[in-house]
Amino acid sequence: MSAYIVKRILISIFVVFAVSIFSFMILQIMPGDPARLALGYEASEEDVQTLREKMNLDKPVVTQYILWVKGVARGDFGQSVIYKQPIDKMMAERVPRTLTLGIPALFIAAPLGIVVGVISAVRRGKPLDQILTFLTTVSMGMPVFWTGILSVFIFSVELKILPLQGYVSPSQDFGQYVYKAILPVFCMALPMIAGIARQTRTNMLDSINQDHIRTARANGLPERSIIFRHALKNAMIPIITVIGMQVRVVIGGSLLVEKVFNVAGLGTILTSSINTRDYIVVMVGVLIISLITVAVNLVVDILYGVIDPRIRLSRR
Amino acid sequence: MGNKLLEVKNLKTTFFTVNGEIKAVDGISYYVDEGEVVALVGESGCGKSVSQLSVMQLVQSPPGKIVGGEIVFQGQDLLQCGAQSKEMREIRGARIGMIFQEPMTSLDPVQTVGSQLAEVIRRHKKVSKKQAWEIGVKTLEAVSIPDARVRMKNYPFELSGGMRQRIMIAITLACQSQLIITDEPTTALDVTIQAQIMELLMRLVRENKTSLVVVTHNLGLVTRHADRIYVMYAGKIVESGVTEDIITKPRHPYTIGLLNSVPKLRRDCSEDLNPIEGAPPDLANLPNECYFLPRCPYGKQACKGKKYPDLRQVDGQEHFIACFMDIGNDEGCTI
Amino acid sequence: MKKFIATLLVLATVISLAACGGSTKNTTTSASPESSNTAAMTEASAPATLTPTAGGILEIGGSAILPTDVTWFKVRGIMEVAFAGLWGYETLMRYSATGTPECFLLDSITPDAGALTWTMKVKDGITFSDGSKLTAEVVAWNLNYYKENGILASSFFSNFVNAEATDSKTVVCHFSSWEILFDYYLCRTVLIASKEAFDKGGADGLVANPIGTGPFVLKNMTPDVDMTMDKNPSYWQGQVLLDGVHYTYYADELVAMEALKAGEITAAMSDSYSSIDSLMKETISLTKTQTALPSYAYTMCFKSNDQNDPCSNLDVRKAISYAIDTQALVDTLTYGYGVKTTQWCMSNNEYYSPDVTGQPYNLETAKKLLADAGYTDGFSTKLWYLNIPQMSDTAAAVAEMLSKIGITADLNPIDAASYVNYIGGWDSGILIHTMGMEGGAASQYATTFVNDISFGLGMNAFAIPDSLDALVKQAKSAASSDEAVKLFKKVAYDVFEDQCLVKVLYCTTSYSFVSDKVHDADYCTVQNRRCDLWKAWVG
Repeated sequence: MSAYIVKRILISIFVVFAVSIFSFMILQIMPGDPARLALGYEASEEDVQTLREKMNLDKPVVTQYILWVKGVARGDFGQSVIYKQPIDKMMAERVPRTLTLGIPALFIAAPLGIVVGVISAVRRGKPLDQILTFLTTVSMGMPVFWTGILSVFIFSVELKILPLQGYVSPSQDFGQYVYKAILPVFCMALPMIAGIARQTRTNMLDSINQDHIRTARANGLPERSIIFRHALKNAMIPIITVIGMQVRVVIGGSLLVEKVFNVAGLGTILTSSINTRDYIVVMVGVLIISLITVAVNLVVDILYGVIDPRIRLSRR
Repeated sequence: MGNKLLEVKNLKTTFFTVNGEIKAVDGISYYVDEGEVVALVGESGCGKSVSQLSVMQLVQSPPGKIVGGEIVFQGQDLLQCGAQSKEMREIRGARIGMIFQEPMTSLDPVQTVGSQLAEVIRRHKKVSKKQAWEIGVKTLEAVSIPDARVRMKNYPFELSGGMRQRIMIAITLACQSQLIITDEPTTALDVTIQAQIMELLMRLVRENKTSLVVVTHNLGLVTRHADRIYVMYAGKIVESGVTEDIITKPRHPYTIGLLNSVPKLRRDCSEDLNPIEGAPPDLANLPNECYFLPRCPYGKQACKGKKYPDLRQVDGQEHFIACFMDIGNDEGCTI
Repeated sequence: MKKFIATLLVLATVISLAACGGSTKNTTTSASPESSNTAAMTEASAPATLTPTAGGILEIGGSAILPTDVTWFKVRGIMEVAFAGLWGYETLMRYSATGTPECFLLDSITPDAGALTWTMKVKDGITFSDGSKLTAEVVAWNLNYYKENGILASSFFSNFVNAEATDSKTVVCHFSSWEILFDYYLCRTVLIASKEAFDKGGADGLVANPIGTGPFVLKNMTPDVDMTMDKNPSYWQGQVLLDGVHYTYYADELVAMEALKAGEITAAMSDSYSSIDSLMKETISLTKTQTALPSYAYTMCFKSNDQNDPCSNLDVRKAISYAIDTQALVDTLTYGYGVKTTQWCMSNNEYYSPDVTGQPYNLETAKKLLADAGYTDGFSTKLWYLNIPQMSDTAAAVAEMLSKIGITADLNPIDAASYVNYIGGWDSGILIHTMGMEGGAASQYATTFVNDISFGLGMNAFAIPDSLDALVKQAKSAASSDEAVKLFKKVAYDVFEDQCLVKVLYCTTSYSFVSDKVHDADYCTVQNRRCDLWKAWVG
């Protein structure tokens, strides 16, 4: 098992590098001069050239990339040309905003999704299953910004019980944080619940029809125990995979939710930096996302081993 | 009449499908006394497995449904309790145990053998986890599994088919069921293991006075171990009686055909096999007359047009057949 | 069961349609706002009396992006400089409602072309928020510092040599060659910072704590989130009534408008016509003001220097210009709130030339001119433009109008980052550009219609005749502002009327919306982003 983990970690490091090289190349190909964009139309050509040199834009592409990697290795994540702030400080402000919305969404969505999926599977064909399947299908089809705007309209504008937008950090004012986070977390969680519920339902249906479930019933075990200890545990592997995929949504920051609810998080800064060709911010943002994604994948793989002894104990 | 452990009266189970109503079990009656070994034989699809699942009320409820009859176990009609009822769950495992055909898939692959055993034990007895584990170890030893304590920590996929079947037996043993139903207990195992498993079952039956219902198509197994045999065809019992009578003096054309079709071990291998011609009827479209008629080599004309024959007693103790004819066993068939 | 699901579906559709259809029947803004900072607004202390009351935090907001840089010499862009007045810094001069520079921190400013100087008299009694006085020495230091370090110094201070404080009130600015537009530049560049604060804490100190002459002092700014300002107790124009101002950044215009309606903010400024239109129609009580100075002139720029391009033909350019119905553009693209004009200033501006008629809409004339030029069957060309909604709609409308005279225009949207590469020159055809108007027409003409610039609109696309080039240079170095005005009017005539190098489609302005609870607030009424809130009070 440990050899397996080591191999996976090495591959993950390679993936992170590959992603950063790939993003760097794309940023280079995109038209637009970051220095000119930073200074505006009216700036003189000399000022722009000075900035270009300061940003290392006059050096060959490979050198630029290597300089960036060296900087990161030193812990120097560079400065944003547009925001004129050190990028690590910027990210330290923004990433928590995204995470404090996305992680609760995930923690709500995962158990809820599993429960909905299990109920659907156990009551298959009955009215409850039909309603739940209908709701999950509809939820998956609804674009998240539509849900966002609609919920703002209903709850903030018409009913006036929830705030219009905004974000307050939980360390700053926990009550306000919860109050402002209800709608964005709900909007992020809804499609997650739907996706997880569907996967759970499918896999549970398979699992319930397994022979060993019949044995468990024949042995008189209570139905609840059969569903959750035996059937669900066997169905968990693809379900965990789906949950792992949702983490990517959390980290990527659901830009659309951030836009609708005016949260200055990772998604927003990433896209605005792409638009303003603030290269280094994009590189750091992509680095953060790829590191977390890769870590999550690793955790999911390890969880496979924990759940299913066949994976853990067989020689790889 | 008095102390029958299990008495099944006129059990009917039908599957309601898009292709029609399939009468898998069409009114069968049988009984099991304490300490008896009763066999249900017949070819695949004759309804013998479904009948046992019906007794346990484990039939998949859509599309199957028990549509009639009584299942009286220790004086109580099980059909009066619901399939999901508390009483039924008490009975399953604790008083009637079932061992299935596929040992490879009948155990939960992600739980250790020990935890599965302990779970069932704790379900039916009020003991702590540690105590349940100990009982588990002892039960594994009782079914002749070497290194029982170590095996408890193994996962099913780490054990052979024979071992897994023993574990299934161990589960019923641990719960001290009064009746064990086994559905094709040895079909999935190789021959040497088959013998061992049957030995084990028989020993347990004798030691604990457990009744055993064996559902199988393996006539050899049945001959050696069963006290009484019921022969099923197309959802109905066509012949029943004590083993000796059935084997040496079969009276129903189907039983005769079955016994004749068993290959005989003789010096010359020149003889062809004697299968029963034809195929079993479509259970969704059963005729009104004798189901076996299309394949019966004997009474073709005489039985046509008559309603399905009831069981009637023929020579010997408790020997019943569902046939209008009186076919004697002249050929002295032996297995 | 199926019936039940169908009913559910219908219900869901009905609910969402009802929600989206959205009636605008609104409850009044007295609904309790959610933010904890709006304490000032819920108490309607003395509704009938109009005596100004001190205290309270003013909640304002909009999608004006918060400054990423509070370094006073690095603020760029006219709008950003105007915005800086909200959080601390003011300029020596400001634009009036007609776009002419007027003295603000100065008493007077006098040009002397012969001596190559501009002489300023500093107003008395102006103090910074740290208590230090604004003297001639401080003004001179600011000007010299900007020359050395200012982000736009090479664009606007290239002829400036140095500033000298000759006494406590007088500053003389020396130039290497004559700069008639210096007063315009002072409205959009040098933010006056406290020298005392600089002496104490250096540039970093001033970046951490901006100290200017403005009515408010920046307390805290979270990028892309909000900005909090405390009042400056020693503001030079008078006592500041508010305790402070809180500006919330809204990424989405619509949300900002909803926040205004809901009472979360009490003043908002909008550039987007759909929001402006919906708020103008709102029946809740708001003071609605159109900003006096226009923000952008949507201008068609022709590629006139390429002989192979039909646009190099003057008759073709004029024909296209005659084919544009500018009134229709204003009505449809700006909901009627935009402004028509023929040149890069409004009719109330000193540089406005009434001789420029700008080819008013006339399809017959257009077709005739096109035929005269030899293109009776029309031709195909390209339209280049920045890919923002307002511009895309404009380009589509223009293309449609051109098709009426047989010209097929191929639409080429350009994304924001690449756009800057197209300003100097484009492949062929027409670039539709948003020309900033706040800086004044003169400086725009001066930086565009000359032949030897390193960067500017159309530098590789416009065929600028030598006569025009000479005229602009002459105008730039006019000895007096009267002469400059005369000469630049001639430039306008050459550019728009005679040569038809560009065609102005329409101008945009912003609108400000202020709740009735806020009094005496000048919120972006003169210039986009410029707030005069020192007299404002809430009650």
